[in-house]
Amino acid sequence: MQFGLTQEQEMFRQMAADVAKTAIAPKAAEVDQTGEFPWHVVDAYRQQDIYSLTVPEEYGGAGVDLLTFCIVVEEIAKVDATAAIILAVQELGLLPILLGGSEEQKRKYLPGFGSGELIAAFGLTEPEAGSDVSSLKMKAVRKGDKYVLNGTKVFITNGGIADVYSIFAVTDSEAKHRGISAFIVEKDTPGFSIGKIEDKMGIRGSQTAELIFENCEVPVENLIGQEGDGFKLAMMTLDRTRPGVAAQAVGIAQGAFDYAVQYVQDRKQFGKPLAAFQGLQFMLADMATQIESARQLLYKAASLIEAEGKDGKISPYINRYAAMAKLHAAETAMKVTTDAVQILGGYGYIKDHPVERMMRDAKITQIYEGTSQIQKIVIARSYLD
Amino acid sequence: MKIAVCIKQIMDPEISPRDFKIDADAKNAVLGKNPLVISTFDENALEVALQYVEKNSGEITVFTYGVAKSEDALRKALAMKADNAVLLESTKEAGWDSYQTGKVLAEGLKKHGPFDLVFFGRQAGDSDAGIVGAVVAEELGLPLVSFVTTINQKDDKVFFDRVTDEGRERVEASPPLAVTVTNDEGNTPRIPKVKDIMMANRKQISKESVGELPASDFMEIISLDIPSSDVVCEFLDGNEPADKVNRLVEKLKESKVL
Ligand SMILES: Cc1cc2nc3c(=O)[nH]c(=O)nc-3n(C[C@H](O)[C@H](O)[C@H](O)COP(=O)(O)OP(=O)(O)OC[C@H]3O[C@@H](n4cnc5c(N)ncnc54)[C@H](O)[C@@H]3O)c2cc1C
Repeated sequence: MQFGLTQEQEMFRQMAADVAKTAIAPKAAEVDQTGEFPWHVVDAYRQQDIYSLTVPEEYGGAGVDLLTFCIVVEEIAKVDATAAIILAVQELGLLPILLGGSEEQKRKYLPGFGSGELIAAFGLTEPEAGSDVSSLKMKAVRKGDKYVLNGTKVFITNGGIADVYSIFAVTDSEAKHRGISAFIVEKDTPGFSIGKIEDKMGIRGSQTAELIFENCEVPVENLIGQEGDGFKLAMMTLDRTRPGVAAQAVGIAQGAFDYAVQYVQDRKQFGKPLAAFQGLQFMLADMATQIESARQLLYKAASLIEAEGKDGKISPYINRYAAMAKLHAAETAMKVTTDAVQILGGYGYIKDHPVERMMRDAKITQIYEGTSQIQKIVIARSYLD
Repeated sequence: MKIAVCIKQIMDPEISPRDFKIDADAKNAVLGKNPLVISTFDENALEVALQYVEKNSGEITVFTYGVAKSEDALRKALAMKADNAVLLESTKEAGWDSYQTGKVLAEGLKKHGPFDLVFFGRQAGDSDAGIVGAVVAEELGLPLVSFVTTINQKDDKVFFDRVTDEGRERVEASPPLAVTVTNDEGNTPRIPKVKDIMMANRKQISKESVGELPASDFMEIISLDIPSSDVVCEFLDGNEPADKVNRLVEKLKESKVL
């Protein structure tokens, strides 16, 4: 196992750090306050070709490996978790097409996702189907050369922002999870509309919306793969995107830690800098060790998925390591950001310092793309089944 | 137009002052875990050259004189879209003798040249000496235009906008010549794009050994330290604001500020 990054990966990290510093960090606090979608971040990603990262070269992208993508997400999350998820969700939305789509579908959509001209979203969760994906209710009924979609999706990141949605719906209600299929739905399709836009605790600039489908007709060409492939595609997608959320979590944690390290050297109490107190030194040591272990597990997971999961191959390790990386990183982010707030004391609780926002942002990493409890179920099953 | 840009790899000058340490015995700054970057004004110089080539035409070769690790700086320059890169590789960190550095660069430029325009940053971000550009111009027998912010071409005339003590001026000069660049809003270095980073990593960097140079025979650093500054806060008494102002003026005179 190789522990160092390549020169190219270091260059990507530096590029992401420069974009984060110049285009994202200056407005991160304002975006958090207003909760408005940061189009300037999308523009920066387009300008720097960042959306092209994971799109294969034959579809006009850069086709970098998953680890490189995670490094970029991590670097951005150090300054702003909202901006990080905007990038990670592009991957979430496009992967069902990349993994299961026809050549025609890939040619139609992937170049646009790569340039950032098209923004993607992923619609799986429903009011009654969160952790339990197999109980989806949304229906897709075939009618001639169309499928008619009826139902509601909730909590969809980029809802109302995206141009193209990967949507999961039931085509055969008898077949349980084998009756789920995936569809490409374009934003202007009649019968498709955006419902409630959520007001959230964290990642406040990321738009989370309800999607409403009322007799929404999509052409049969928009079915991804075969009828019944949906569940497998959703799981394969999540196996490859959970490292992205883990990278977001590691980045948030590192950002909060770095801030705390600076702070303890500046702030004086009892005639000494806070850094002189062993009680706080021990906290910093724990935080740093947790972050580094989360990062190493993430890098291992990303490398392993890259090596074993090429071309949609299924390997039992992918599932396990993706879940481990996300679980550990998310728990670390929550713990480290909470400790960072503690280290700043009252100042940590005030919006003048970014650790307040980081602590709220960290929470989501324990929830979306499978809660921490669900990751544990996945990990345990990978040993027991 | 055949263009050369000389860049230096230095310790990131934007690190927090807390991370800046000096080894008094070695008479050098301690790199420690601090990152290495392309010296700021050199990046501005590369940006000016890139903008010139994009508007007109030309081919850019970047040069650096340094140890193997300096390759990273060249790689970044390639990712910013320079065409070629040459590493004049030394086995030891270059010293602070700008004259020696200038001579090494001049030899490399002669070998790969001749160039129509040779760019430098106005001074390195670590030594702040600002000598190398002039030394190379002298060695190559080129005229030098200093403190340039932008270059424009109309027909076959090349115009250089430069910053002076009084303001700005525009000079017309005909290549071949050397140029030193200062920072300006219009030449903020670009951040490399994803695909350009990938292409940069597929390019060859030409490496030429210059061995270890002898110690400088006319320059020696006697001592190196970080200046310390003390802040003393004194409250002035007085009932009326006018009293306080008078006392303040007295104090300022006493300490020779006024
Ligand atoms: C901001 C945000 C963005 C999101 N973006 C998207 C998106 O883009 N696309 C999308 O499809 N979804 C998205 N989601 C949905 C998200 O993935 C779900 O919220 C998540 O999977 C949990 O589902 P739930 O909210 O229904 O919780 P529930 O499933 O109701 O879970 C409630 C609690 O029960 C626990 N629990 C559930 N089952 C078990 C079990 N078997 N054993 C032990 N504990 C269990 C859970 O861990 C949790 O603590 C987003 C959510 C949020 C908040």
